[in-house]
Amino acid sequence: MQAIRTRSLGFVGRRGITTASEGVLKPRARTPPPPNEWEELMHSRSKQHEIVSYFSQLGSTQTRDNSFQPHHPLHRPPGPHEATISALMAAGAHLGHSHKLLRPAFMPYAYGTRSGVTIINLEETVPLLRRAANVLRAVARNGGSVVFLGTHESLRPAVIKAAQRIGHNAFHVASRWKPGTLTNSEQIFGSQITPGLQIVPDLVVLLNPADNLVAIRECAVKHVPTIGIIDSNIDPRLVTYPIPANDDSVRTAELISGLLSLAGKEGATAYLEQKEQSQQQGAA
Amino acid sequence: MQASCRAALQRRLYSTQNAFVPSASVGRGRFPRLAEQPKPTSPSFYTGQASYYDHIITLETARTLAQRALQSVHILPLSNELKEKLPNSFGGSFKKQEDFAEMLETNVRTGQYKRAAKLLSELNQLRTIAQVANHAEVYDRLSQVLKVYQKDNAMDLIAQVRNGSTVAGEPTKKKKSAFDEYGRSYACGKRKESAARVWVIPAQQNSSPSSETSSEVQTSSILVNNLPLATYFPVPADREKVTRPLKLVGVLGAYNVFALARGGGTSGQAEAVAH
Repeated sequence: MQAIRTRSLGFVGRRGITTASEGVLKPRARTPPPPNEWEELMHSRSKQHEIVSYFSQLGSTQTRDNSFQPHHPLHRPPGPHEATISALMAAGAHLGHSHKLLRPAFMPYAYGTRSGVTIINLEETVPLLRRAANVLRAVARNGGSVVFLGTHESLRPAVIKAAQRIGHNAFHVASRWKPGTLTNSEQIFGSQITPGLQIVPDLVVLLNPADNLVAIRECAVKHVPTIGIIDSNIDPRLVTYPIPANDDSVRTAELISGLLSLAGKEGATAYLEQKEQSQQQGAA
Repeated sequence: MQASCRAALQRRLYSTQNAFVPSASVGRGRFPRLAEQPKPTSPSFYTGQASYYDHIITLETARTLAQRALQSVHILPLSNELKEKLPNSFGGSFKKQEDFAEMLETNVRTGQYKRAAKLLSELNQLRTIAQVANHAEVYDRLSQVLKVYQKDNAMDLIAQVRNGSTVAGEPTKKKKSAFDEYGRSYACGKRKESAARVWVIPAQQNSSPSSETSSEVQTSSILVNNLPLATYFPVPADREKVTRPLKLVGVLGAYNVFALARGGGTSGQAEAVAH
Protein backbone atom coordinates (compact mmCIF):
# COMPACT_ATOMS: atom_id res chain seq x y z
CA MET A 1 0.00 0.00 0.00
CA GLN A 2 1.43 3.33 -0.99
CA ALA A 3 2.09 5.64 1.89
CA ILE A 4 0.16 8.89 1.67
CA ARG A 5 2.55 11.82 1.65
CA THR A 6 1.70 14.58 4.07
CA ARG A 7 2.15 17.43 1.63
CA SER A 8 -0.05 16.19 -1.20
CA LEU A 9 -3.19 16.22 0.89
CA GLY A 10 -2.31 19.51 2.51
CA PHE A 11 -3.68 18.63 5.91
CA VAL A 12 -0.98 18.84 8.55
CA GLY A 13 -2.41 19.35 11.98
CA ARG A 14 -0.88 21.58 14.53
CA ARG A 15 -0.76 18.78 17.00
CA GLY A 16 1.81 17.11 14.77
CA ILE A 17 2.23 13.59 13.65
CA THR A 18 1.64 10.69 15.98
CA THR A 19 4.77 8.67 16.66
CA ALA A 20 5.24 5.03 15.86
CA SER A 21 4.75 4.04 19.48
CA GLU A 22 1.20 5.44 19.63
CA GLY A 23 0.59 4.41 16.06
CA VAL A 24 -2.21 1.90 15.77
CA LEU A 25 -5.57 3.49 15.12
CA LYS A 26 -8.15 2.14 17.47
CA PRO A 27 -11.52 1.28 15.90
CA ARG A 28 -13.97 4.13 16.43
CA ALA A 29 -17.39 3.62 17.90
CA ARG A 30 -20.01 4.29 15.22
CA THR A 31 -21.55 7.68 16.05
CA PRO A 32 -24.76 8.95 14.46
CA PRO A 33 -24.18 11.62 11.73
CA PRO A 34 -24.04 15.14 13.20
CA PRO A 35 -27.02 17.34 12.27
CA ASN A 36 -25.23 20.72 12.01
CA GLU A 37 -23.45 21.50 8.70
CA TRP A 38 -20.66 23.22 10.61
CA GLU A 39 -20.13 20.15 12.71
CA GLU A 40 -20.24 18.06 9.51
CA LEU A 41 -17.43 20.09 8.01
CA MET A 42 -15.30 19.83 11.16
CA HIS A 43 -16.03 16.12 11.48
CA SER A 44 -15.07 15.24 7.89
CA ARG A 45 -11.90 17.29 8.10
CA SER A 46 -10.84 15.76 11.40
CA LYS A 47 -11.38 12.28 9.95
CA GLN A 48 -9.13 13.12 7.00
CA HIS A 49 -6.57 14.55 9.39
CA GLU A 50 -6.57 11.34 11.42
CA ILE A 51 -5.98 9.22 8.33
CA VAL A 52 -3.15 11.46 7.18
CA SER A 53 -1.44 11.56 10.56
CA TYR A 54 -1.71 7.78 10.89
CA PHE A 55 -0.15 7.07 7.52
CA SER A 56 2.48 9.78 7.88
CA GLN A 57 4.38 7.48 10.21
CA LEU A 58 4.90 5.09 7.34
CA GLY A 59 6.42 7.47 4.85
CA SER A 60 9.52 9.60 4.83
CA THR A 61 11.27 10.42 8.09
CA GLN A 62 11.44 14.03 6.94
CA THR A 63 8.47 15.66 8.64
CA ARG A 64 7.20 19.20 8.97
CA ASP A 65 8.90 19.51 12.34
CA ASN A 66 12.36 18.53 11.22
CA SER A 67 12.45 20.38 7.89
CA PHE A 68 12.82 24.08 7.27
CA GLN A 69 9.62 26.15 7.32
CA PRO A 70 9.39 29.85 6.38
CA HIS A 71 8.43 30.84 9.93
CA HIS A 72 11.51 29.22 11.50
CA PRO A 73 13.95 32.18 11.16
CA LEU A 74 11.45 34.28 13.12
CA HIS A 75 10.28 31.78 15.73
CA ARG A 76 13.27 29.45 15.99
CA PRO A 77 16.38 31.59 15.52
CA PRO A 78 19.83 30.11 16.11
CA GLY A 79 21.47 31.07 19.38
CA PRO A 80 24.65 33.15 19.66
CA HIS A 81 26.71 29.94 19.83
CA GLU A 82 25.07 28.60 16.66
CA ALA A 83 26.09 31.52 14.44
CA THR A 84 27.77 29.57 11.63
CA ILE A 85 28.78 30.52 8.11
CA SER A 86 26.40 27.92 6.69
CA ALA A 87 23.44 29.33 8.65
CA LEU A 88 24.22 32.84 7.38
CA MET A 89 24.71 31.61 3.84
CA ALA A 90 21.42 29.73 3.91
CA ALA A 91 19.75 33.02 4.85
CA GLY A 92 21.48 34.80 1.97
CA ALA A 93 23.56 37.05 4.23
CA HIS A 94 26.57 36.91 1.92
CA LEU A 95 24.88 38.68 -1.01
CA GLY A 96 25.85 42.31 -1.19
CA HIS A 97 24.91 44.95 -3.71
CA SER A 98 26.32 45.61 -7.17
CA HIS A 99 30.11 45.61 -7.35
CA LYS A 100 29.94 49.10 -8.90
CA LEU A 101 28.33 50.38 -5.69
CA LEU A 102 30.97 48.89 -3.38
CA ARG A 103 31.89 51.42 -0.71
CA PRO A 104 35.71 51.49 -0.42
CA ALA A 105 35.47 51.49 3.40
CA PHE A 106 33.55 48.18 3.17
CA MET A 107 36.36 46.45 1.31
CA PRO A 108 37.87 44.69 4.36
CA TYR A 109 34.56 42.79 4.71
CA ALA A 110 34.16 41.89 1.03
CA TYR A 111 35.17 38.43 -0.19
CA GLY A 112 34.98 39.19 -3.89
CA THR A 113 32.60 39.60 -6.78
CA ARG A 114 30.29 37.08 -8.44
CA SER A 115 27.70 37.80 -11.14
CA GLY A 116 28.30 41.53 -10.72
CA VAL A 117 27.44 41.33 -7.02
CA THR A 118 29.78 41.85 -4.07
CA ILE A 119 30.03 38.75 -1.90
CA ILE A 120 30.38 39.54 1.78
CA ASN A 121 33.07 37.58 3.64
CA LEU A 122 31.13 35.62 6.25
CA GLU A 123 34.37 34.71 8.02
CA GLU A 124 34.44 38.37 9.03
CA THR A 125 30.72 38.51 9.76
CA VAL A 126 30.60 35.67 12.28
CA PRO A 127 33.04 37.15 14.85
CA LEU A 128 31.47 40.61 14.47
CA LEU A 129 28.04 39.10 14.98
CA ARG A 130 29.19 37.33 18.13
CA ARG A 131 30.79 40.54 19.35
CA ALA A 132 27.51 42.40 18.85
CA ALA A 133 25.70 39.62 20.73
CA ASN A 134 28.17 39.96 23.61
CA VAL A 135 27.60 43.72 23.72
CA LEU A 136 23.85 43.27 23.83
CA ARG A 137 24.11 40.58 26.50
CA ALA A 138 26.32 42.83 28.64
CA VAL A 139 24.00 45.83 28.26
CA ALA A 140 21.01 43.72 29.29
CA ARG A 141 23.03 42.11 32.11
CA ASN A 142 23.65 45.57 33.57
CA GLY A 143 20.01 46.65 33.36
CA GLY A 144 20.36 48.76 30.24
CA SER A 145 17.64 49.45 27.66
CA VAL A 146 17.79 48.26 24.05
CA VAL A 147 15.80 49.57 21.09
CA PHE A 148 15.30 47.40 18.00
CA LEU A 149 14.79 49.60 14.98
CA GLY A 150 13.45 48.16 11.70
CA THR A 151 11.36 50.60 9.76
CA HIS A 152 10.33 48.45 6.80
CA GLU A 153 6.98 46.63 6.92
CA SER A 154 8.71 43.29 6.25
CA LEU A 155 10.98 43.78 9.27
CA ARG A 156 8.06 44.52 11.61
CA PRO A 157 7.52 40.97 12.94
CA ALA A 158 11.26 40.47 13.55
CA VAL A 159 11.65 43.71 15.48
CA ILE A 160 8.56 43.22 17.65
CA LYS A 161 9.45 39.59 18.35
CA ALA A 162 13.05 40.51 19.32
CA ALA A 163 11.85 43.08 21.87
CA GLN A 164 9.28 40.64 23.26
CA ARG A 165 11.88 37.89 23.56
CA ILE A 166 14.14 39.98 25.76
CA GLY A 167 11.09 41.12 27.69
CA HIS A 168 12.69 43.48 30.16
CA ASN A 169 13.85 46.98 29.11
CA ALA A 170 13.58 46.12 25.40
CA PHE A 171 11.75 48.31 22.91
CA HIS A 172 10.88 48.27 19.25
CA VAL A 173 10.26 50.81 16.54
CA ALA A 174 8.61 49.04 13.62
CA SER A 175 7.14 52.09 11.94
CA ARG A 176 8.70 55.45 11.29
CA TRP A 177 11.41 56.77 13.63
CA LYS A 178 10.17 60.23 14.56
CA PRO A 179 12.99 62.76 14.13
CA GLY A 180 13.72 64.25 17.53
CA THR A 181 12.84 61.13 19.52
CA LEU A 182 16.08 61.51 21.47
CA THR A 183 16.96 65.16 20.87
CA ASN A 184 13.48 66.67 21.19
CA SER A 185 11.86 64.15 23.49
CA GLU A 186 9.80 66.67 25.48
CA GLN A 187 7.83 67.53 22.37
CA ILE A 188 7.57 64.00 20.98
CA PHE A 189 6.52 62.31 24.21
CA GLY A 190 5.00 65.19 26.13
CA SER A 191 3.06 63.91 29.13
CA GLN A 192 4.47 60.38 28.85
CA ILE A 193 7.75 61.58 30.41
CA THR A 194 7.65 61.19 34.17
CA PRO A 195 10.38 62.99 36.17
CA GLY A 196 13.52 60.86 36.38
CA LEU A 197 12.53 58.61 33.45
CA GLN A 198 15.45 57.55 31.26
CA ILE A 199 14.48 58.43 27.69
CA VAL A 200 17.81 57.92 25.95
CA PRO A 201 18.37 54.15 25.49
CA ASP A 202 21.61 52.36 26.26
CA LEU A 203 21.85 50.54 22.90
CA VAL A 204 20.13 50.74 19.53
CA VAL A 205 20.04 47.82 17.06
CA LEU A 206 19.32 48.88 13.47
CA LEU A 207 18.13 46.32 10.93
CA ASN A 208 18.13 48.85 8.07
CA PRO A 209 20.61 51.60 8.99
CA ALA A 210 20.69 52.95 5.42
CA ASP A 211 17.08 54.15 5.81
CA ASN A 212 17.56 55.49 9.33
CA LEU A 213 20.37 58.00 9.10
CA VAL A 214 18.35 60.42 11.24
CA ALA A 215 18.20 57.87 14.04
CA ILE A 216 21.94 57.18 13.72
CA ARG A 217 22.72 60.88 13.95
CA GLU A 218 20.55 61.26 17.05
CA CYS A 219 22.29 58.29 18.65
CA ALA A 220 25.65 59.88 17.89
CA VAL A 221 24.58 63.19 19.42
CA LYS A 222 23.33 61.44 22.56
CA HIS A 223 26.32 59.05 22.75
CA VAL A 224 24.26 55.90 22.26
CA PRO A 225 26.21 52.90 20.88
CA THR A 226 24.63 51.31 17.82
CA ILE A 227 24.65 47.86 16.26
CA GLY A 228 23.68 47.68 12.59
CA ILE A 229 23.46 45.36 9.58
CA ILE A 230 25.88 46.90 7.09
CA ASP A 231 25.62 46.06 3.40
CA SER A 232 28.36 46.49 0.80
CA ASN A 233 27.21 49.95 -0.28
CA ILE A 234 27.33 51.41 3.24
CA ASP A 235 30.24 52.72 5.28
CA PRO A 236 30.76 50.37 8.25
CA ARG A 237 31.86 53.30 10.41
CA LEU A 238 28.24 54.52 10.47
CA VAL A 239 27.49 52.32 13.49
CA THR A 240 29.56 51.38 16.51
CA TYR A 241 29.35 47.61 16.01
CA PRO A 242 28.79 46.84 12.31
CA ILE A 243 27.55 43.42 11.19
CA PRO A 244 28.45 43.07 7.51
CA ALA A 245 25.52 41.21 5.95
CA ASN A 246 22.73 41.54 3.39
CA ASP A 247 20.29 44.23 4.53
CA ASP A 248 17.77 43.42 1.77
CA SER A 249 17.10 39.90 2.97
CA VAL A 250 14.27 39.52 5.47
CA ARG A 251 15.52 36.08 6.46
CA THR A 252 18.97 37.50 7.32
CA ALA A 253 17.42 40.30 9.37
CA GLU A 254 15.25 37.78 11.24
CA LEU A 255 18.27 35.55 11.88
CA ILE A 256 20.42 38.40 13.18
CA SER A 257 17.69 40.04 15.28
CA GLY A 258 16.69 36.63 16.65
CA LEU A 259 20.27 35.76 17.54
CA LEU A 260 20.88 39.12 19.21
CA SER A 261 17.60 38.93 21.12
CA LEU A 262 18.49 35.47 22.46
CA ALA A 263 21.76 36.91 23.76
CA GLY A 264 19.84 39.83 25.24
CA LYS A 265 17.40 37.45 26.88
CA GLU A 266 20.29 35.64 28.61
CA GLY A 267 21.54 38.96 29.94
CA ALA A 268 18.13 40.18 31.05
CA THR A 269 17.38 36.90 32.86
CA ALA A 270 20.71 37.10 34.71
CA TYR A 271 20.01 40.73 35.65
CA LEU A 272 16.55 39.98 37.00
CA GLU A 273 17.84 37.01 39.01
CA GLN A 274 20.56 39.12 40.54
CA LYS A 275 18.07 41.88 41.33
CA GLU A 276 15.78 39.39 43.06
CA GLN A 277 18.68 37.96 45.07
CA SER A 278 19.84 41.38 46.20
CA GLN A 279 16.26 42.28 47.19
CA GLN A 280 15.95 39.07 49.19
CA GLN A 281 19.28 39.76 50.87
CA GLY A 282 18.15 43.30 51.57
CA ALA A 283 14.89 42.01 53.06
CA ALA A 284 16.78 39.41 55.14
CA MET B 1 36.64 94.01 40.08
CA GLN B 2 37.30 91.62 42.97
CA ALA B 3 33.66 90.59 43.05
CA SER B 4 33.64 89.74 39.34
CA CYS B 5 36.85 87.69 39.73
CA ARG B 6 35.34 85.81 42.63
CA ALA B 7 32.18 85.17 40.60
CA ALA B 8 34.25 83.89 37.64
CA LEU B 9 36.19 81.50 39.90
CA GLN B 10 33.02 80.20 41.44
CA ARG B 11 31.59 79.48 37.99
CA ARG B 12 32.29 76.01 36.61
CA LEU B 13 35.05 76.21 33.98
CA TYR B 14 35.22 72.54 32.95
CA SER B 15 32.64 70.91 30.67
CA THR B 16 31.72 67.74 32.59
CA GLN B 17 29.99 67.69 35.94
CA ASN B 18 31.32 64.28 37.06
CA ALA B 19 35.06 63.73 37.07
CA PHE B 20 36.24 61.23 34.45
CA VAL B 21 37.64 58.02 35.94
CA PRO B 22 39.31 55.69 33.42
CA SER B 23 37.84 52.20 33.80
CA ALA B 24 41.26 50.54 33.89
CA SER B 25 42.14 52.35 37.11
CA VAL B 26 39.05 51.08 38.89
CA GLY B 27 39.06 47.58 40.31
CA ARG B 28 36.42 45.01 39.36
CA GLY B 29 33.27 45.41 41.40
CA ARG B 30 34.26 48.87 42.58
CA PHE B 31 33.11 50.67 39.43
CA PRO B 32 30.62 53.30 40.57
CA ARG B 33 27.31 51.87 39.39
CA LEU B 34 25.05 54.53 37.96
CA ALA B 35 21.88 55.06 39.93
CA GLU B 36 19.29 52.86 38.26
CA GLN B 37 16.95 55.12 36.40
CA PRO B 38 13.46 53.91 35.69
CA LYS B 39 12.93 53.03 32.03
CA PRO B 40 9.71 53.36 30.01
CA THR B 41 7.23 50.52 30.54
CA SER B 42 5.66 50.07 27.08
CA PRO B 43 7.79 48.25 24.46
CA SER B 44 6.37 50.64 21.83
CA PHE B 45 7.49 53.74 23.73
CA TYR B 46 10.01 54.93 21.15
CA THR B 47 7.42 54.94 18.34
CA GLY B 48 5.92 58.06 19.94
CA GLN B 49 2.42 56.52 19.91
CA ALA B 50 2.84 53.77 22.45
CA SER B 51 -0.83 53.21 23.28
CA TYR B 52 -1.87 52.91 19.61
CA TYR B 53 0.84 50.39 18.69
CA ASP B 54 0.27 48.40 21.87
CA HIS B 55 -3.40 48.03 20.95
CA ILE B 56 -2.53 47.04 17.38
CA ILE B 57 -0.11 44.38 18.63
CA THR B 58 -2.75 43.05 21.05
CA LEU B 59 -5.28 42.75 18.24
CA GLU B 60 -2.82 41.11 15.85
CA THR B 61 -1.74 38.58 18.49
CA ALA B 62 -5.38 37.81 19.28
CA ARG B 63 -6.07 37.27 15.58
CA THR B 64 -3.11 34.90 15.17
CA LEU B 65 -4.02 32.85 18.23
CA ALA B 66 -7.70 32.67 17.31
CA GLN B 67 -6.86 31.56 13.76
CA ARG B 68 -4.50 28.89 15.08
CA ALA B 69 -7.08 27.59 17.55
CA LEU B 70 -9.85 27.48 14.95
CA GLN B 71 -7.55 25.75 12.43
CA SER B 72 -6.75 23.06 14.97
CA VAL B 73 -10.48 22.23 15.29
CA HIS B 74 -10.70 22.20 11.50
CA ILE B 75 -13.34 24.91 11.08
CA LEU B 76 -10.85 27.18 9.30
CA PRO B 77 -10.39 27.67 6.35
CA LEU B 78 -14.11 28.21 5.66
CA SER B 79 -15.66 27.06 2.42
CA ASN B 80 -17.31 29.76 0.29
CA GLU B 81 -20.83 28.41 0.75
CA LEU B 82 -20.55 28.42 4.52
CA LYS B 83 -19.06 31.93 4.57
CA GLU B 84 -22.37 33.29 3.29
CA LYS B 85 -24.31 31.35 5.92
CA LEU B 86 -22.52 32.91 8.89
CA PRO B 87 -24.88 34.66 11.30
CA ASN B 88 -24.86 38.42 11.81
CA SER B 89 -21.70 39.56 13.56
CA PHE B 90 -22.92 43.11 14.45
CA GLY B 91 -19.91 44.85 12.92
CA GLY B 92 -21.34 48.31 13.47
CA SER B 93 -21.02 48.14 17.23
CA PHE B 94 -17.37 49.28 17.36
CA LYS B 95 -16.14 52.72 18.31
CA LYS B 96 -15.70 55.35 15.64
CA GLN B 97 -12.46 57.29 15.11
CA GLU B 98 -13.18 60.05 17.64
CA ASP B 99 -14.07 57.73 20.50
CA PHE B 100 -11.17 55.43 19.63
CA ALA B 101 -8.72 58.34 19.78
CA GLU B 102 -10.24 59.49 23.06
CA MET B 103 -9.80 56.01 24.53
CA LEU B 104 -6.14 55.92 23.42
CA GLU B 105 -5.49 59.51 24.56
CA THR B 106 -3.44 60.20 21.41
CA ASN B 107 -4.11 61.68 18.02
CA VAL B 108 -5.15 58.81 15.70
CA ARG B 109 -4.88 59.45 11.97
CA THR B 110 -7.53 58.12 9.61
CA GLY B 111 -5.20 55.52 8.10
CA GLN B 112 -4.29 54.32 11.56
CA TYR B 113 -7.94 54.05 12.57
CA LYS B 114 -8.77 52.12 9.39
CA ARG B 115 -6.02 49.63 10.21
CA ALA B 116 -7.47 49.13 13.67
CA ALA B 117 -11.03 48.91 12.31
CA LYS B 118 -9.99 46.24 9.80
CA LEU B 119 -8.40 44.17 12.56
CA LEU B 120 -11.52 44.55 14.70
CA SER B 121 -13.80 43.38 11.89
CA GLU B 122 -11.54 40.35 11.28
CA LEU B 123 -11.64 39.47 14.97
CA ASN B 124 -15.39 39.93 14.98
CA GLN B 125 -15.76 37.50 12.12
CA LEU B 126 -13.48 35.00 13.88
CA ARG B 127 -15.67 35.28 16.95
CA THR B 128 -18.75 34.45 14.87
CA ILE B 129 -16.91 31.44 13.44
CA ALA B 130 -16.00 30.34 16.97
CA GLN B 131 -19.67 30.69 17.87
CA VAL B 132 -20.85 28.37 15.08
CA ALA B 133 -18.01 25.94 15.81
CA ASN B 134 -19.05 25.92 19.48
CA HIS B 135 -15.53 26.79 20.60
CA ALA B 136 -16.29 28.46 23.93
CA GLU B 137 -12.69 29.34 24.85
CA VAL B 138 -11.94 31.25 21.64
CA TYR B 139 -15.36 32.93 21.76
CA ASP B 140 -14.88 34.12 25.35
CA ARG B 141 -11.31 35.30 24.81
CA LEU B 142 -12.26 37.22 21.67
CA SER B 143 -15.26 38.75 23.43
CA GLN B 144 -12.94 39.92 26.21
CA VAL B 145 -10.55 41.49 23.71
CA LEU B 146 -13.29 43.12 21.63
CA LYS B 147 -15.30 44.46 24.58
CA VAL B 148 -12.84 47.31 25.08
CA TYR B 149 -13.39 48.60 21.55
CA GLN B 150 -17.17 48.47 21.45
CA LYS B 151 -19.39 51.54 21.60
CA ASP B 152 -20.83 52.41 24.98
CA ASN B 153 -24.33 51.63 23.78
CA ALA B 154 -23.25 48.57 21.78
CA MET B 155 -25.44 46.13 23.69
CA ASP B 156 -28.49 48.37 23.17
CA LEU B 157 -27.82 48.59 19.44
CA ILE B 158 -27.45 44.83 19.18
CA ALA B 159 -30.66 44.32 21.16
CA GLN B 160 -32.47 46.73 18.82
CA VAL B 161 -31.32 44.81 15.76
CA ARG B 162 -32.34 41.52 17.34
CA ASN B 163 -35.82 42.90 18.16
CA GLY B 164 -36.18 44.12 14.61
CA SER B 165 -36.73 47.77 15.53
CA THR B 166 -33.60 48.71 13.55
CA VAL B 167 -32.55 46.98 10.36
CA ALA B 168 -28.89 46.05 10.54
CA GLY B 169 -26.77 47.71 7.92
CA GLU B 170 -29.40 50.30 6.96
CA PRO B 171 -27.71 53.49 5.81
CA THR B 172 -28.73 56.61 7.73
CA LYS B 173 -29.09 58.78 4.60
CA LYS B 174 -31.51 57.30 2.13
CA LYS B 175 -30.85 57.94 -1.53
CA LYS B 176 -33.83 59.59 -3.23
CA SER B 177 -34.03 57.46 -6.33
CA ALA B 178 -37.68 56.51 -6.12
CA PHE B 179 -40.48 58.12 -8.11
CA ASP B 180 -42.43 60.84 -6.30
CA GLU B 181 -46.23 61.36 -6.18
CA TYR B 182 -46.31 62.74 -9.73
CA GLY B 183 -44.29 59.85 -11.09
CA ARG B 184 -41.10 61.92 -11.49
CA SER B 185 -37.58 60.87 -10.64
CA TYR B 186 -35.12 63.69 -9.99
CA ALA B 187 -31.32 63.70 -10.03
CA CYS B 188 -28.39 66.08 -10.51
CA GLY B 189 -25.36 65.65 -12.70
CA LYS B 190 -22.11 67.57 -13.03
CA ARG B 191 -19.31 67.65 -15.56
CA LYS B 192 -16.52 70.27 -15.78
CA GLU B 193 -18.23 73.61 -15.06
CA SER B 194 -21.70 72.37 -16.05
CA ALA B 195 -24.50 71.25 -13.79
CA ALA B 196 -27.76 69.67 -14.86
CA ARG B 197 -31.01 68.98 -13.06
CA VAL B 198 -32.89 66.14 -14.67
CA TRP B 199 -36.45 64.89 -14.22
CA VAL B 200 -37.33 61.49 -15.63
CA ILE B 201 -40.98 60.51 -16.08
CA PRO B 202 -42.25 57.20 -17.49
CA ALA B 203 -43.80 57.92 -20.89
CA GLN B 204 -47.49 57.05 -21.33
CA GLN B 205 -48.36 54.90 -24.33
CA ASN B 206 -50.51 56.63 -26.94
CA SER B 207 -53.84 54.88 -26.93
CA SER B 208 -55.74 57.38 -29.20
CA PRO B 209 -58.43 55.69 -31.32
CA SER B 210 -57.44 57.78 -34.40
CA SER B 211 -54.27 55.85 -35.01
CA GLU B 212 -55.41 52.54 -36.43
CA THR B 213 -52.00 51.08 -36.86
CA SER B 214 -50.49 51.18 -33.37
CA SER B 215 -46.78 51.82 -33.66
CA GLU B 216 -44.71 49.21 -31.89
CA VAL B 217 -41.85 51.61 -31.27
CA GLN B 218 -42.65 53.73 -28.23
CA THR B 219 -41.46 57.33 -28.53
CA SER B 220 -40.69 59.80 -25.83
CA SER B 221 -39.44 63.37 -25.76
CA ILE B 222 -36.24 64.73 -24.30
CA LEU B 223 -36.26 68.45 -23.48
CA VAL B 224 -33.18 70.38 -22.40
CA ASN B 225 -33.78 73.96 -21.19
CA ASN B 226 -37.24 73.80 -22.82
CA LEU B 227 -35.78 72.98 -26.24
CA PRO B 228 -35.87 69.62 -28.01
CA LEU B 229 -32.69 67.58 -27.88
CA ALA B 230 -31.88 68.06 -31.57
CA THR B 231 -32.23 71.86 -31.30
CA TYR B 232 -30.22 72.31 -28.09
CA PHE B 233 -27.38 69.96 -29.05
CA PRO B 234 -26.60 70.51 -32.76
CA VAL B 235 -23.60 68.21 -32.58
CA PRO B 236 -24.73 64.55 -32.91
CA ALA B 237 -22.00 63.40 -30.53
CA ASP B 238 -23.50 65.44 -27.69
CA ARG B 239 -26.95 63.97 -28.39
CA GLU B 240 -25.42 60.49 -28.25
CA LYS B 241 -23.93 61.27 -24.87
CA VAL B 242 -27.33 62.20 -23.48
CA THR B 243 -29.16 59.13 -24.83
CA ARG B 244 -26.39 56.61 -24.05
CA PRO B 245 -27.52 55.79 -20.49
CA LEU B 246 -31.06 55.08 -21.69
CA LYS B 247 -29.80 52.92 -24.55
CA LEU B 248 -27.57 50.87 -22.26
CA VAL B 249 -30.49 49.99 -20.02
CA GLY B 250 -32.76 49.51 -23.03
CA VAL B 251 -35.44 52.03 -22.06
CA LEU B 252 -34.84 54.65 -24.73
CA GLY B 253 -38.48 55.35 -25.53
CA ALA B 254 -39.89 54.52 -22.13
CA TYR B 255 -39.07 57.71 -20.27
CA ASN B 256 -39.64 61.41 -20.92
CA VAL B 257 -36.64 63.45 -19.87
CA PHE B 258 -36.77 67.10 -18.84
CA ALA B 259 -33.44 68.71 -18.05
CA LEU B 260 -32.26 72.14 -16.95
CA ALA B 261 -28.57 72.63 -17.71
CA ARG B 262 -26.38 75.50 -16.56
CA GLY B 263 -22.77 76.54 -16.85
CA GLY B 264 -19.90 75.38 -19.03
CA GLY B 265 -20.15 74.57 -22.71
CA THR B 266 -22.27 72.28 -24.89
CA SER B 267 -20.33 69.03 -24.44
CA GLY B 268 -19.98 69.64 -20.70
CA GLN B 269 -23.71 70.19 -20.37
CA ALA B 270 -24.38 67.06 -22.43
CA GLU B 271 -22.24 64.95 -20.12
CA ALA B 272 -23.83 66.58 -17.08
CA VAL B 273 -27.29 65.63 -18.32
CA ALA B 274 -26.08 62.09 -19.02
CA HIS B 275 -24.59 61.90 -15.53
